[in-house]
Amino acid sequence: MNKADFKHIYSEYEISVYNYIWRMVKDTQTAEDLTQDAFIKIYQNLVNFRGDSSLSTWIFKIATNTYLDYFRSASHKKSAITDDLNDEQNDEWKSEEIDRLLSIDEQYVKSEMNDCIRGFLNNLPDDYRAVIVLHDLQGLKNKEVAQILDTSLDNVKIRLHRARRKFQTVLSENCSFYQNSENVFSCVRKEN
Amino acid sequence: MSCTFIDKNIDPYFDKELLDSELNEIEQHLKSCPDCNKKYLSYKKSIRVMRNLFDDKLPPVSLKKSILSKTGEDK
Repeated sequence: MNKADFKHIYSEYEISVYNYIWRMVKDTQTAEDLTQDAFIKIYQNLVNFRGDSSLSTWIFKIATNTYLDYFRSASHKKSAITDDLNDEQNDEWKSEEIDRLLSIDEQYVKSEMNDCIRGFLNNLPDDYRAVIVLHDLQGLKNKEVAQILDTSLDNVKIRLHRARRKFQTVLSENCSFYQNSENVFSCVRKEN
Repeated sequence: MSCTFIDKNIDPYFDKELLDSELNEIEQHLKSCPDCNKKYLSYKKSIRVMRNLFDDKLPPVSLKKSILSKTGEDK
C-alpha cells in the first residue's frame, strides 16, 4: 500500500469510518474532527500496512484508537467498562430517551425510531456500543471486531449478546413490531 | 439438542457463524419447539429493526475537502 491508494481508500471508507466515530462520540463536530484525525493517520501510515490483518480491520483500528485517545484526553473524561463478567451492576442503560411517537406516518415513524435507537445506543457503555456498532451496524464479524477493539473474542460475544438482549427488552417494553409497506420490520410506540 | 443450547447459541445462529451441521440441528429444534422458536423470532425481529432503522449519516462535503487538502491529495 502507498499514498497513491489513499483517495480510493478514503472514498470506500469515508462513510463507515465517520459513522462509526459519530456513533461512539455522539457529537457531530467531534466526529468530524476525529474522522479527519483518523484519515490523516491512515494516510501517514499506509506505507506501513503489511497486510497482517485485513485493510478494514487496520482502518477501523486506527479509528478506534483515535476516539479512545479523545476519550482519555484531559478535555474529555470517560472510562470504558472492561469487566464484562461482573457487569450486572453497570445498569445505567436507560430508556427515558425513548419517549415520542405519535404519528403513524412511516417517514415520521422511521425518523422517530431512529432517534429512539440512537438514544438506546448512546446510553450503552462505550465498549458495548462499539461492539453493536461494528458488528450490527457496520456488518463486521466477531473476530474482526475483537481485533479492532483489541479484546478477546469471548468479550465481543458477551458484549454483543448483552447489548442485543437489552435492546430487545427496551423495544418489547416500548414498541409494537410491524412490517411496513416495503416488508421491512419496523415498530411503533406502544400506548401506555 | 436442548433449549439451553439454543439460548446460548442464539447469536451465532442468527449471524450464521456456526457449522452447517449445527445450523441444521438448531433449525430442526426450532421447528419442533414453539417456545424456542417464539424467542428466536422475537430476538431476530429486534436486531433487524435496529439494522433497518439506523440510517448512516453523510459526512459534510467540507470534511472530504479538508482531509484531501491536509494530506495533499487534492491536487
